Amino acid sequence: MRVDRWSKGLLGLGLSALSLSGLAAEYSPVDADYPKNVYFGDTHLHTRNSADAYSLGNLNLTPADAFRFAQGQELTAHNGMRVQLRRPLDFLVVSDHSEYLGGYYRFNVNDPIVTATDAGVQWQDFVREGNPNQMMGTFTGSMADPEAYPPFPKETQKLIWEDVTLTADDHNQPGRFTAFIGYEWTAMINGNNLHRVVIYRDGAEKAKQMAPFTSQESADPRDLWDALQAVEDQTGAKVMAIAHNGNLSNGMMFPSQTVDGEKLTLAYAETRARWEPIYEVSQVKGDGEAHPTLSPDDEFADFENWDWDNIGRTEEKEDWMLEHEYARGALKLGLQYEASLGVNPFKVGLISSTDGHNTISTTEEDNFFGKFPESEPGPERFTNAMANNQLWQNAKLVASGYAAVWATENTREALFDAMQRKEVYATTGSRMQVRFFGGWGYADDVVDHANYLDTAYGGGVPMGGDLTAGPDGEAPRFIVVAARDPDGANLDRVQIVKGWLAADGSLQEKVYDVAWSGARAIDPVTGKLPPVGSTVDEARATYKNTIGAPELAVVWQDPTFNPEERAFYYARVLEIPRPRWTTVDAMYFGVERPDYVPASIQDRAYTSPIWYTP
Amino acid sequence: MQFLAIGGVLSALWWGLWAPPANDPNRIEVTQAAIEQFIQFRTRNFSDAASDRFAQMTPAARRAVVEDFVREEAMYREAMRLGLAEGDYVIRQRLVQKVDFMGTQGVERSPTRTELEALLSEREASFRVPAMVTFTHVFLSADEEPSLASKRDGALALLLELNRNQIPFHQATRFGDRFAYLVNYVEQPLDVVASHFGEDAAQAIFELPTESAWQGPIASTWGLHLINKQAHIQERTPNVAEIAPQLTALWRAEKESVARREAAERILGQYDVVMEPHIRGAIEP
Repeated sequence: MRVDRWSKGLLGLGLSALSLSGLAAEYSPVDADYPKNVYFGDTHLHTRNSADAYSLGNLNLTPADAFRFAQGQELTAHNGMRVQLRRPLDFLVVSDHSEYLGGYYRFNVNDPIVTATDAGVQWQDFVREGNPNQMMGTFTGSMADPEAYPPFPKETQKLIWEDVTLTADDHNQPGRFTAFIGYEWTAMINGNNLHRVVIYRDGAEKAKQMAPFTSQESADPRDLWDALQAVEDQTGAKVMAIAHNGNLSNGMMFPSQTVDGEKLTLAYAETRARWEPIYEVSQVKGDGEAHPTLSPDDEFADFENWDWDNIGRTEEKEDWMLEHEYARGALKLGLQYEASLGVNPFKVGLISSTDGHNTISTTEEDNFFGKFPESEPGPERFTNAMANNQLWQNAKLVASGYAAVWATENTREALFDAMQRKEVYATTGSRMQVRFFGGWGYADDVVDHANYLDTAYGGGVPMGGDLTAGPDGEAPRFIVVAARDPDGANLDRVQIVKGWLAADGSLQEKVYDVAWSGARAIDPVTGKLPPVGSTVDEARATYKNTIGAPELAVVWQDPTFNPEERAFYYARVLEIPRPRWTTVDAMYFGVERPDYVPASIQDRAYTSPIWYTP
Repeated sequence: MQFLAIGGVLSALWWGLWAPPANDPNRIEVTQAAIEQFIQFRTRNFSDAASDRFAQMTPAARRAVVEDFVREEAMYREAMRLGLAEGDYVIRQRLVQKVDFMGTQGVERSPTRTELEALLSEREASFRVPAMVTFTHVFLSADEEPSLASKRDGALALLLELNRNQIPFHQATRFGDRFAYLVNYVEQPLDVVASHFGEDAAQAIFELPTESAWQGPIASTWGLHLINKQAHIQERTPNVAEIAPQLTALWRAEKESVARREAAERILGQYDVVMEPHIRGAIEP
């Protein structure tokens, strides 16, 4: 009986895009060699090697500084403060923009490999004309018009890139700390964000052989995927792309058509699913899980939404865009595409990261160092706006988040493989520990046993996995075990979010409260669980763990399961309220908090979904 | 008007009417060295080929190069004359950074082994690797009935059973309740164990001997734990070979920092700093 279920589970795995890369075979959870440790890291961080970071004041902090800081060493931020993480990270990707990577810094110190290029010569002209701002504008200018603003030659890019890869290798300590090689492809179309971070599984020996792909060459994700295929074919390096900020794409991130207006095809879906297994759902420029317009019944959907416009601030947001921007909407659309095309192009696991541009990866509300040097701690960051007051108010920045990875060891290979199979979750800044499994026969009391993981893995799939063809008449059962950040806030509740493609062709969703702290009960009239309350003292910027629970665990069965309907399920875990970083700043600097941000927030975790396919 | 003036200079050049340089702001000097450097920047080639290149050009091409150079120089001076660099904070920062960077020129890049060893012994505390333990545990939750006293009795009885049956490390989860965090702690330092178990329990675990038998029970903020401690690695300082890249990076960074500070101080020493009285008052402790 168990073998029967398991082979059906494997069949489910086989149907997913994972099988296209043959990775399903690399991971067998049937024996006890499953991941027992969760690793926290940042997959999206910038240093002075990024053109925008450099031009906005990150003059001094390098990738080596980023790796040192991530491992727990002290740095001096540009505002002069000494800063240190309370707990080191387990891994870091330094993902500087590939367009003019290292260029502005090297130009400024007269490095001939840059000053000798067409771009370098042009920049010298601008500076001599007394117009250095025009030089700083070449970063985005070259993406829009590479004829007018020439990119670096590939040989130059490769030279600079080699240094980046070797630095990562220098700081990589297998088993202790993982330094990934990576970069960001900064694609934008008409001011709409299509950025992806690219991560390598391999070290410098393979990674340095080819220069990164830039949006000066193309802003079409299909060209990025072709370039990644070329990397694998020519060097043997394994890579993946992680998109972010759908919320600033004005509907282009999870689109209904390609960049040149054609309908999505099976080939598009297969290719996208193959190269983009996970999505960065939350970061400093907004949380992208859910939106109140799309999910009016979800009282937690309005968390740190940035929903006014696109990344270039060239076009306002319209409601039709939202389902193509927010993860829950995209996951639902993916089910529809799976039905029509045969493959789900938006079958993404979820992680979070920071997108910090000052080399300092911070996500805690009381230790938040902003995005650019202008938003490092100081009373001005309440009143100024991003990028020399050209973009959004800095008080709106989000102190988010981390990628949490369930892996067998802290190495590039184990972490990358975990991301590939989506056994990962997102947190909006704290280190909650969350387990999520789906299966057909879990007993109600399985979570009470110390060895529940043997049963969980043996009898089902972890987050990121696939379920299919269950025993007749049975609904799937899900295990959620959540523990609070050991140094952080108690938990309010665990929810399971279900999205499905109904028989009538419509996309549906429902959020279930499945476990919660205290003696609360779901209101039979509203169907809602009462809020957990708050211990936040705004004036002092403190909170207390006298409410909430340190851990929550439950086995839950879908009460409205229909075996004919495609569906996904993911767990969302909420903490009790804590002061937002703006409240901490207000207390620390003695300034008044802007009224357009809340005094307190409930940090949360989103697991990768488990998909059900009929 | 400018081009007539330039034409005049060029004409003077070509007809060999060259006068020695003077401190004249309206005088643009077209020297061999200046032209060669100009060519180097424009052709992206910093070898000695620039002079050959100039020599091999047609007169018309040479005229174009010289005109470009002269035009550029004139516009640059015009920009400076118009004070376009003033109040431009970006230019100011760039210039400051160039001077700052100049302070790092000539700084040693390659430390000797002796220098690295000296740095390590000076900074030993920050490179020290803390003590680490490897253990697993059987956990008995405090939330469950019965009372703590009988809980402890039950724990002792279980301890006897684990040891009598010689239950191995990897079978810990056959017994007890689910623990919020890890089952196995592998080479974890005190502060991680303390954040999961509480300070007292972590301290107690670190003080246990390493042996194959189960030990305890130890009380944490969650309940009681029976510990199987496999390894205890003493706090140690790595040797230079193990951390050479990190030490070298730190050594360079510090050398550069000292050099930059000294250079900045030398520059500042050339100036008298005069403060308005209320500012002087404001900065006094």
